[in-house]
Amino acid sequence: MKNYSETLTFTLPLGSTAHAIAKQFWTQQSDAQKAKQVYLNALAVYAVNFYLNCMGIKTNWEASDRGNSIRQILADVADLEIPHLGLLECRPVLPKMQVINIPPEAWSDRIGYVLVQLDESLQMATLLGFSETAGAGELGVEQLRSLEDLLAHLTGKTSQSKIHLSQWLENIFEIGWQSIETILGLEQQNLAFTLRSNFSIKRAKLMDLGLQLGHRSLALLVAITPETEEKVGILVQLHPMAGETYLPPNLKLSMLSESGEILQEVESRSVDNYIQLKRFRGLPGENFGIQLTFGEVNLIENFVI
Amino acid sequence: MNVQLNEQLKQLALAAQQQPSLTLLRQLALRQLVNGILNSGRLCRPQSGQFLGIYDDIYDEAVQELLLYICQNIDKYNPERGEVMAWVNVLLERRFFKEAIPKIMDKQNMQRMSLSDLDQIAPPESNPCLTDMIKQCIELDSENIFKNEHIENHPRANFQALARRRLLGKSWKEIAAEFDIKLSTVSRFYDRCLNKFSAKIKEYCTDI
Repeated sequence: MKNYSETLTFTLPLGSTAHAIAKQFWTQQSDAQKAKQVYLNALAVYAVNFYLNCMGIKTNWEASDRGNSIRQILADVADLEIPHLGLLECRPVLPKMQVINIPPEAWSDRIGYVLVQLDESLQMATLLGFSETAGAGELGVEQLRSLEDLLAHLTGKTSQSKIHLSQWLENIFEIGWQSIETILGLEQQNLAFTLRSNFSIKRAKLMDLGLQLGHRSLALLVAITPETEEKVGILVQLHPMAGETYLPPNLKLSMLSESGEILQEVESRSVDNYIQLKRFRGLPGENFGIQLTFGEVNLIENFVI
Repeated sequence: MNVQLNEQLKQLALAAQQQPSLTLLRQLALRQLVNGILNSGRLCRPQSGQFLGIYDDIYDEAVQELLLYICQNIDKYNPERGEVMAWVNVLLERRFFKEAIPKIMDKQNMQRMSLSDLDQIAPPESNPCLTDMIKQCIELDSENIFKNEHIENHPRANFQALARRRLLGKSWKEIAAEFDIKLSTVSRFYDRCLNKFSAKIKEYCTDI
């Protein structure tokens, strides 16, 4: 009996839709060799996009499509755009290949490389693993990191980048920012919620305060709503995780200006169900930060409206 | 052994359900669950014997959609109602296989190509083909933008010159040698130009 905890890959069947898309790109090439590469590249990108969708990560795949036929004729690239993070290069691996050449035009400006093995029939794709860099232009199948490392890499990059609140109004959310029900569970909805119903978009993110809090997580809630004169109203709250009633005391929640100055701050006392900053507002393009401090731990999330 | 498989899959499904979505543990469990289902040998084959010649096309399309659904809806599996494979097979037979049929039947040209097909068949000639239009656009360079975009201190190494050579099939090694510039520099410059100019080139090609 196979032990699935040891397999590091992800396999999926490549149905007709995947092939129809590959064919679309294929027909636009005049050179048969190039056409073959383009077909395989398209299948590789499709497979990675599918995997990320399964894992709940949004991509700009349809958007990447548009400029791509041009780029594919002028270069050998197979990239997938991850919103706000950058391009993930998806390279096809043919049966029995152990080392893959990465074309030079894909050596830079990529957040990572995923190798996708295709079988002879091109009806099955297996994501083998990932690499952060293109190596010296060659990637060995044996050197790849796991797919879970890829996910951690993408999530890590997200924390470093800014959260775009205007996009929330279009339902585009960064990795980690989820619905309140997902983070806090359905029962919690009725409890300590005083998020006024006139906030149209509410999202929450798990904040891990590490060892200091015994690895307990807190939920940072950000709610926004459009106001007059193009402004956006913002409300920020900090809640304990599902199962806990109170926040630990001496937890500080602050709002920082673009230059890092503390604009407002609130601290939890011994029996707070949650704490919140005073509602504030800003114009699209304005930056601010939200900081969580507990003992020596300092977590900052950067936002741009 | 069937019992072991059922138990394994059930554990994986429960593990996925117990973690909030977008956490590594959940994603790991889902990946292993998908692998387990695909390798189980116990995925049903609805209406087998029918749809001769296109059965596999329908089936693979259906299984693909099924797997995506399972990952996005794992919370809908109820372990008290039965085994994972039972849940999966009901979904496949009653929903996903049926949904895949019209996708394949209604469209012509849904034939999947294999590696040997790709080696033996060339794309049909279209008139004018996209490659020719791109060549034309680059040659014309009516606004001189392609000629003027060049590597610092190397006006000859401009986007138009590089694109011409790439379209001719020259390798990066040859191009780097010709201009006496480091390979990674010249290819990175080219990739950035592509990002900059592909919208413009596409516009040209659509306007023809």
